[in-house]
Amino acid sequence: MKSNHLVSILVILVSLVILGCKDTITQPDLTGSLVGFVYTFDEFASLLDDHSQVLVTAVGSDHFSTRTDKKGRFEFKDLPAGTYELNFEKAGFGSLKQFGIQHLGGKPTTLGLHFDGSTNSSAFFIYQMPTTEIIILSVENDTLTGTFSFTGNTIPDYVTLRVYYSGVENFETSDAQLVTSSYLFKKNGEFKGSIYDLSSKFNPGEEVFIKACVLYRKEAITDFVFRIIIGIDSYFDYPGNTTIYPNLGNESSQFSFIYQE
Amino acid sequence: MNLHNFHLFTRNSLLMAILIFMTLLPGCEKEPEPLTTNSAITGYVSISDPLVEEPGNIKVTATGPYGHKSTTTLPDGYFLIEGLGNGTYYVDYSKEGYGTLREYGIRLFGADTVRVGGTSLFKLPSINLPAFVKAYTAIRDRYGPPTTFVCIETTVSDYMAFELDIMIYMDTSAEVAWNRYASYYPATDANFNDANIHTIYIDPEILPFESGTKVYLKGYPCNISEYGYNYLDTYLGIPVFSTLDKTKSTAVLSFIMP
Repeated sequence: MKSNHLVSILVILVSLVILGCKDTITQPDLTGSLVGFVYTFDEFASLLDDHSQVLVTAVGSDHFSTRTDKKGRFEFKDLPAGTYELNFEKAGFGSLKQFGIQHLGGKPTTLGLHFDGSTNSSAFFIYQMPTTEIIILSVENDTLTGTFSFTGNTIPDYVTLRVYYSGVENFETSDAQLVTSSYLFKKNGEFKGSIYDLSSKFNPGEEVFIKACVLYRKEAITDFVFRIIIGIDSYFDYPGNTTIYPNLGNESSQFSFIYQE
Repeated sequence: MNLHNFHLFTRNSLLMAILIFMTLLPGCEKEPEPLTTNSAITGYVSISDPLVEEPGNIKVTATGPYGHKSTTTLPDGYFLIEGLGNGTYYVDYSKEGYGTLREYGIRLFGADTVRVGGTSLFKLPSINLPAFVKAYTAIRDRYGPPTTFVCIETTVSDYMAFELDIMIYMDTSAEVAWNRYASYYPATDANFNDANIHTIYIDPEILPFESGTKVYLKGYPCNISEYGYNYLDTYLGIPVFSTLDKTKSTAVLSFIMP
């Protein structure tokens, strides 16, 4: 009998050892909500009414996904503490990434918005991919003239381009000697704008080759009655050492002109 | 040991082991423990009224993964909450008689001091919320050239009530509320109309509705001095008036946008 009791006690002690809890001492063992806001725009950077169904993925030690509601709000509940890459995707829109999102867990992490109106807030902006085609680009003196093909019934009042310049024919845009933004405004059926001062890169009389991509961006919007919301709409690609604009349109054909000072 | 005793022993041991396991199981889900406890939150918060007798003594409460910790501000509004563990917190600023503000998303990594606040508290409204009787649009020429205004008739009887501590929310839906609206505006322009009925006037030029749209409105008690200084609940993504009394509201009325 006595030996039976001793064996029982031994079994209990072994159970205690086996079922004992591990202490978490080296990793933060917190979870919590991560909340952020996404605004969506059409291809001409006009704000859309419904920002829902943007797929937001948090990539860290594991993958977590959620979708935005109509106001663009997304929430990851019980997200483990860690540093995350956020991906924003929606069919027909450029996909945005953001790196280094630090989430400590505990009470909600709120990205971008500031509770006091004296400080500007920020949010993620994604745009529909451009459908505008660049048909012709020409330069005369300091004026860039563009001919475009638009889908749908919307003809915008202006077209914004990312313009690449090079003295080398058939250049790759990644090798462009100069990259600028140009705004071409509609006037008398044509789209015209000024070109950047090229004197620092090219000599008068030199043949300059250009390509362009449509790129509409919105720097900021007003929301919550009077607050300025600054857009986060691009990211730096470290391996490629370049800034990625997710809604950059297709590259045009190459055109050329003789640079005149 | 005979067979009977062996079975008895095995059964008793198993029962004891199960009992111990079930006792220990809740203990396996321990409360989180901080990796560091040397972070702090500091800042300033004040009362919006510069003439208030006691500007300090505002309660500041930091709530995080390990519970909450509070302090009260000095007369100049300064506060410091020390000895906080790593993690994300929110901070509440409160004082009796004033609206409470909540600031989210304060991250403490460890051995850091984060500055927050820089805001002001507003006094809660003491208004007895009047009834909203009727809403319509009419031409008003009492204080300038004839202009169409949105008019809201109330049951206020005080002849000196030119401003009312009421925030008016407007929307194209009859479900208009403090957290569902297209626009809001304070009752800063109130007077007795020609029929001697106390009326709130709103200039439709400031409203975001198309002409001919049916607009619904609802009023809540709110310190209208807070208009233009309201806060953003960054968790919900909604502008918040800390002095708004969500438990009281007028009936929903409607008008046709001129």
